[in-house]
Amino acid sequence: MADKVVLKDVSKIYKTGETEYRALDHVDLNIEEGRFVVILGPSGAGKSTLLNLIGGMDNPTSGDVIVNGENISKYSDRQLSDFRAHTIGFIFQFYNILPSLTVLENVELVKEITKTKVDAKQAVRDVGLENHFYKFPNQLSGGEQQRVSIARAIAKNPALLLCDEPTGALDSATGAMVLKILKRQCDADRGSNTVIIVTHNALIADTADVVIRVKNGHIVSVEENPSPMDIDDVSW
Amino acid sequence: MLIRKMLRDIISNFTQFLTIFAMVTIAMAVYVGICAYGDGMKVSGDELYAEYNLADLWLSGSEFSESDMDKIKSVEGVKEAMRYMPLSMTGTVEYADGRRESFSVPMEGVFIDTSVKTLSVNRFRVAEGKNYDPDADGLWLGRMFAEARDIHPGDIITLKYEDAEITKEVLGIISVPDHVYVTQDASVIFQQAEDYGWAYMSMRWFPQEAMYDNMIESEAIQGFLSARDSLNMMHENGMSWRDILVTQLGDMSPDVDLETALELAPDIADETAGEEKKHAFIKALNPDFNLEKAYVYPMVCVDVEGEAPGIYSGNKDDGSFEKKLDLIKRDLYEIEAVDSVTGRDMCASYSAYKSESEEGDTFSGMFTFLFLFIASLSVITTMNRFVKKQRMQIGALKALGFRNSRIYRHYISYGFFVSLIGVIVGFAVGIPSLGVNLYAEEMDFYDVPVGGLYIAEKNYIVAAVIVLMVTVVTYFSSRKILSEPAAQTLRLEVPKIKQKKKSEKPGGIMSRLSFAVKWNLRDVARSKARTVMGIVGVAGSTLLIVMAYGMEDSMLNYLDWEFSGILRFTSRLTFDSDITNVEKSDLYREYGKATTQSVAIEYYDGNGLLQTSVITVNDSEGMIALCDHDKVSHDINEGIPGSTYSDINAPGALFATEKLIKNKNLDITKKLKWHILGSDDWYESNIAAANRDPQAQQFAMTRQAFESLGEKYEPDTLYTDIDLTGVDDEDIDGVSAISTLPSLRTQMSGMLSMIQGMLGLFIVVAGALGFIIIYNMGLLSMNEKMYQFSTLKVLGFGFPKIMKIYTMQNIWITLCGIAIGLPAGYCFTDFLFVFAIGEEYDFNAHIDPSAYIIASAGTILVMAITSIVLAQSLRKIDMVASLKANE
Repeated sequence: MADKVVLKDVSKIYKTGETEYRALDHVDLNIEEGRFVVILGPSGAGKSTLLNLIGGMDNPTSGDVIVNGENISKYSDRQLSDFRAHTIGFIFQFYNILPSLTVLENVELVKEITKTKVDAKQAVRDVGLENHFYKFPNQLSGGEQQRVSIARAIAKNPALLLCDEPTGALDSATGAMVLKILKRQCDADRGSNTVIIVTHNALIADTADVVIRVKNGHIVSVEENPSPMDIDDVSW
Repeated sequence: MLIRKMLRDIISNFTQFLTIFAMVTIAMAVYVGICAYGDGMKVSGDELYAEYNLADLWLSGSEFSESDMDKIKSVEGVKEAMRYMPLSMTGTVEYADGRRESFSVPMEGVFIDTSVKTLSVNRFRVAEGKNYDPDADGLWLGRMFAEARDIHPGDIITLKYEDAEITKEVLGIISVPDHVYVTQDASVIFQQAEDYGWAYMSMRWFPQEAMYDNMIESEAIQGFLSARDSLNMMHENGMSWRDILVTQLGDMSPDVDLETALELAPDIADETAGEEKKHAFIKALNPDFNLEKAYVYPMVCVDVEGEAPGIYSGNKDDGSFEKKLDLIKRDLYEIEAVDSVTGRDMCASYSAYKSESEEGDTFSGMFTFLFLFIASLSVITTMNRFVKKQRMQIGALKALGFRNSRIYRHYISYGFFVSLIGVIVGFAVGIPSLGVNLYAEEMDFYDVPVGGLYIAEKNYIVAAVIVLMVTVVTYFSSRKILSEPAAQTLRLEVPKIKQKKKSEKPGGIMSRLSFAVKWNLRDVARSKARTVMGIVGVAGSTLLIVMAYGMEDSMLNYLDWEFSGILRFTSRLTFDSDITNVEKSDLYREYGKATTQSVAIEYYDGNGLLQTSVITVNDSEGMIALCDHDKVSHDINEGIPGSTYSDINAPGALFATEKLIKNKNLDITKKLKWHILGSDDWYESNIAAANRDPQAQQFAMTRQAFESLGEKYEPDTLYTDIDLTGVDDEDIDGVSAISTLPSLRTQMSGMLSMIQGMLGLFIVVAGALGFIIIYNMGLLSMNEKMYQFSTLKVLGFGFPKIMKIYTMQNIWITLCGIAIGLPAGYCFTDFLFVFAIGEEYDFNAHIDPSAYIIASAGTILVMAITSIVLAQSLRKIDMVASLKANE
């Protein structure tokens, strides 16, 4: 399969005053298209930084980030906005859905930025919230809010879905449900979608096609999982 | 330690706290600045009046003799009395060292009773030169005129009255408590100091020849002169002088030297006699003649025992002094020579100064309230959000063992210290800026050389109330989180699940709105306090701009009303008090017969109190128009359409101004009881019509109604369409003053320039207020919504789209604020004109549409600038940091 994401000698350095913090240190990485990838590592290892660079939310200090064959680290702000609008779907630990919009409106928001045909209602149905179309976020539980976030992300059917601790704030049952949806998204379109999940929960790793371990800003290992475990079989 | 935390917190939330600080500072500065000058005027005036003993009463009559003075002084309660003669004259100034060219201006000469050795009432405050000395050969000149014209002791002034001239050296430059504000005539609203002066001197310097002329013109002497030929004939026919005296002139003293008198009579009658002959002639007719006793004093000023209530402390008076004055007035009226008795409120100098000093009272309260209200809203929104942001810190402090009271004190101290510093800076800024400048501008018109700004106790009380209020609002804004248990505070705030009880209706109006509209509508609904603060702030800013321009427009409209609607002549000629019929006829032939007569009256108002006023008997042929309620002009003989209740030409039928009717509680269904000052004939007549006048609340009457009473119409002013610009009143016989309409209007420029200064300040404050409020509102809104904007950016929203969403709400709030601010601006301006300006004025706000356009455009401009400035941070949203921060 073709490489969906390629990182070449990528470093990300944060500066606070005279102190430098190297979040990623000369990282090289290839992620193939259609894979369900889990990036594992302790807090501060650099996994969220990695995700943010892949998603065009942040720029590397050095090195190249290539997604779909395009070097996005050279993109302008406007190009990055278009890139995120058309290529990427984001899911966050704390959902980041807009409290002023209803469930359906939060998903329909995608229509404002993409010309791709979006079936917002179907996306909401896909995440099992068909009875909550017109509710506001503060009327939903945490798991339901996360599913709204997923619906918003998958509504435009992104080729690359990036998830930062998507189950971090959820109970095990809800977490499993969310993972199933993510897995389903990965398998859609004849398995051409790529899903990258950042987590420190090692149990999730068993369900992934590829497990990338990160520590102190370095890729420690990239492991292929020939037989990913079914999500229902994971003991949380 | 907590103090350090507070300081750092304030620095890191600088803009929000700056808003509170700015509002408190402006509120305090405006209040203390206006009060300092207003109270300063009052207290300084009181100081001058008390120290230099302003008279409590003024008596007028045709002449007050020594025996009249004895009677006046014997009235119970009267402490001192002094008679004097005020006279309208022309003064020519010659500088002792020729440093400037000599010039002539109208002046008032005040001639003091020769028997007065030391002034006890209306004493001089000498700025330069020596104090009053009746024997010193010279005069004392008013300070403001002297300063404006660079006149000093040693310079020479020639005062001219008719043919009489008095040339005297200036001995002193003085201020006198009853000459704090003096105008050339009643139509002058703001007298420019250099255009009109006044001087005091002893009556002994009044030209004796003028006195003789005055006596010669008396009816008795004119009768004698007419009879001189027949008397001479009798003598030639053998009749002795004594027999002629006894048989023909029985009412004359037996000691009269008839022979000498008749010998001098031809020269006297032909007006060829000099001063000596005139003296000899009068002495022959009146052997007891004593010049000093012949001086005419038509005015007396009276000092009453006890202390009159001051302007500043006046409200604290229990009314006992007024009651005492009332009793004294009644007793004084019993004296035959007394035509009228008036108090300080009828003294033009006193009432104008008092009214001006009270003008700021309404201003200060209104502006302070406005700014304080906005400050409170800022405190509510800022502290509420600030304490929420500090939730974890509060929990940590509690967990560490800090007592609730300590934490309360800590958070309350934010509001306390910011407002405390705000009021201190307000004092420090308001007094030297507003206070000093307003006081200086006022004192360009009023001669009160004592005192200065005054900081009354109430300023400190208001400062304390402001600090207390902000502190209390801070407490209530933060107490909810502060009262939570430590463990709960340490947890993240639980979302308000029940905040929205209802889901959105499918297919409702909302579903048809664009995302940006929907998002902003709901955001406004969620952040009501912030929205209200924004709207009020913008409305306040708009209001101030409308007021600034509206006040100028209203003043210009007032000028148009007065100088186009009411005064419709080109030139006005004020008659000499002793104008002859021949002179009048000449004037009528030359300039027409449009005339008026001012008649001073006393009347009983609707509350049964005796009041003093003026009736203008109007035969001006429409040159002095009367205006109806809608300011439409009418000739008095047409009546006032819609406001004429009965026959305007019936005997004594009066026109009364609407504000006079209201203020004096007059009942148009009942007859008004009044009499002409100096006459014992009381009339009862109808108020036949009501008119409006912007600057004089008084009565008017048709000539026919006046003459139907049996009164003789004796005009004192003539109006003409002929332009007499540049014509000197000395060139026209029988005329004491000439004014043209443009010159009268020009006199208002002083007042307008002063107002324009105030307006400039208004606009600066309005701009600052608008910028601070809109900036703070935008910043609050930006901070709260940053994570949402970040989310949108992550989703792929570009800067223009996010900018549009962000700006939309600011535009709404600005438009709402403008929609409220424009009418509120009108109402506040109207309120100022209706309530804050003296009783004598009656005009409303009249604001040109351009003022509304400027106010709207100005506010939108401020909004646009602040939005553009703030939106720059949207360009640089750090999505990662923002979303992390939200987590």
